Amino acid sequence: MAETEEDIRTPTLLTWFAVSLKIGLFSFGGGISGWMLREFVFRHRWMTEPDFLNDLSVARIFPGTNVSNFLVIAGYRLLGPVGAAAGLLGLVGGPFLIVIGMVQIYGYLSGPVLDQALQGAGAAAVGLVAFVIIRSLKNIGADWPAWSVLVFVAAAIMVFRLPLLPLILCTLPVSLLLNKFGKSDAER
Amino acid sequence: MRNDNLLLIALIFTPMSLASFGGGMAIVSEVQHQAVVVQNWMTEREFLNLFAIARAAPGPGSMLVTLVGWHVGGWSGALVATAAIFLPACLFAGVLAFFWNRHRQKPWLKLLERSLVPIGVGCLVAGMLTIATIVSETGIAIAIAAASVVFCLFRPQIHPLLLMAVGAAANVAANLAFH
Repeated sequence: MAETEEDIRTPTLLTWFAVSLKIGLFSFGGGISGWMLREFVFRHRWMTEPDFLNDLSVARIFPGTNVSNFLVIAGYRLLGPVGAAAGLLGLVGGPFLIVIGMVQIYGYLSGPVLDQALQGAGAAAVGLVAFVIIRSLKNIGADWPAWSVLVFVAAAIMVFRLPLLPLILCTLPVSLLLNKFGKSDAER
Repeated sequence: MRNDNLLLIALIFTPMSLASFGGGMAIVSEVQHQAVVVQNWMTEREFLNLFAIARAAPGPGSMLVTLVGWHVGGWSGALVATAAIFLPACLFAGVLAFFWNRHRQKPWLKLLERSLVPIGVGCLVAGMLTIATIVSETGIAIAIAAASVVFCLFRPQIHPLLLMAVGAAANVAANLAFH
């Protein structure tokens, strides 16, 4: 592990792209931050662990997928705009071709059995999302303003079909105010 | 007509990119609404198939959007859709990360961070409910979804691909057995 700043190496553009490509090709359904930590901090020593965790937490705040945001932020920090572009291109390029290949195969094989298989796979994917949601709900805990915002957002999307971006832009100030004034000082 | 479609794809997915707090799964509900109801690009069942294919493929959670673009406009549709869903959010994050790092310890940024969490989770809940609703057309699929929820609670480290393969096999087998 990179204990000091001197141990840190700068990636070449090609290795940065290659590792981004690898991450894209071998990541399934999220939850790969542990693997990224090993690649970036321990194996390649491109950043310290605090730097990694900082970039990742910033990536999580912004809209978009965590991994793509992370590779853009870290890529820019390490190699400038070209690094950000190479990270994003590497991450998305592989899955882009694979997913289109899969849908082509689906086109050739399509029929009732494949439809049933995909329905079953889709049903199983519900559990994956449910797990992420339940874990987040545990983190939110007994924070009633957060719960009310959450229920409002879900209902506004599902029932009233409000478009996402305006909905979020309108909900955010309310969530901010509830967070700021909705709790006692002890809870804050 | 073709260029109109590409422009439409860009116009639909660019705002979604900036609204995808909570990642690719958080926009599934809106993608479904646009693709199936508003634009009438595909049936609900076709949408579910694309969703399942995207979930079974490697990569970030937004590849569903690539497939919707492919369905509408082939290679160019897929390229425009992918760029529209990734680029705005990445540019936003890349530009604001510097500002964010400089003010990291300011209390109002912590407040903003905390206030965004329930919005992202609310979007995820809507995404999950959307898929659950489409899936719920057969009792077998409902049972598989329920079993998968329970299983993930006890064995969260299971490989997503394995879980989906088991779900697929179970649905095919159950349909063979009951029909």
